[in-house]
Amino acid sequence: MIPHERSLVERLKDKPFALLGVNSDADKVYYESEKAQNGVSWRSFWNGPKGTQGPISGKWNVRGWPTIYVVDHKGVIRFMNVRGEAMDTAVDQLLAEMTADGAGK
Amino acid sequence: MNRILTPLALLALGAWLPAQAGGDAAAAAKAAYDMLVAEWTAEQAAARAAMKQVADSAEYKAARDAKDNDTARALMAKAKRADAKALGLRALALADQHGAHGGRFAAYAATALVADKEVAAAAAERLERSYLTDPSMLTVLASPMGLFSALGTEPAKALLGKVETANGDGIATAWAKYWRAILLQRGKPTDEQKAEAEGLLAAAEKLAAGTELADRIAAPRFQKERLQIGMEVPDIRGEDMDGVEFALSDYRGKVVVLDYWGFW
Repeated sequence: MIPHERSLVERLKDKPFALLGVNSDADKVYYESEKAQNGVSWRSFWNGPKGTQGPISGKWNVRGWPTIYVVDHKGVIRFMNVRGEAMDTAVDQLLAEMTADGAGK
Repeated sequence: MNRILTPLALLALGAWLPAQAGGDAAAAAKAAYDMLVAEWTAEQAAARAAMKQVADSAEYKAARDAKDNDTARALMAKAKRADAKALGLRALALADQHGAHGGRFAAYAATALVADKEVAAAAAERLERSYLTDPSMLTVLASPMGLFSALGTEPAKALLGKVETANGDGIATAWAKYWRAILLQRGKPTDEQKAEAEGLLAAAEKLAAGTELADRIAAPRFQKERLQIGMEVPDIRGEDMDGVEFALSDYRGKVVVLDYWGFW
């Protein structure tokens, strides 16, 4: 999962795109060491010291990890739980829609 | 080396602090508690190291290569384990020793050290006897599932009922109602139990209004009403991993993949 997301972020680094995490590692020290080893460049909210039992995932009723939402440039939820190639396709579609829409000009 | 030094250093601190504070009982309890936590952390680290040592040994690798699982398991069983039970019972003795300031010891026995039925029963008894309205009860109620499964459902429900009675309309009561509802919903609840759980959740949500607990109770509804495809995404405000505040809405105008993840 992480290598795919890393390559997605890399591929779209000049596009109006952001991968944002809600990170549920209870231990920030562990997070930092893994972050360095895995080349994680994206920004995450921290779900707090209770890890997967933290407040953000709690409010959103997240039961499975990872849980993924894809949101378009207008802030509308368009896809859920797309992984791998399906995630790439979804993001590319939304970026194309955005260009067609003339947004970001 | 640190594993041994840290508890010793804290032991020295523990002996020194109360004397300096002129018998400040709260400070003494805090110091003794920090020492207990450091000891448990060190024991767990030592146990992990012992297991790793076995896993790296030639004997163990040979057994694994030969698919001799019995031998491999026997070798691993010789690695020294962290003894949650011994420490749990000691935590409860410390609770007795520190009396009114001992709630945190009972809470620690009921959460981090609750591997064992005997510890669970003793911790529940101790909490019930002295700490029903103590702030440490909230620590227990934040992650009580280990205690509940070691204790059994009926004793767990009885303890929660006592928390509710003792705390009136307080937040501890909201948590107790929430957990009683969760216990009622487990397995194959009857219609009556389902209805009781619904009632408890509604009451808990009301008592906990504006808190994380209320959000948690409302979560299935929130997901259904706010998190479907085609809906405007609700905002998230929080801190990033470096402690810098930001919001999901800061990224409006971009395509966003929001990923609930972790390394664990």
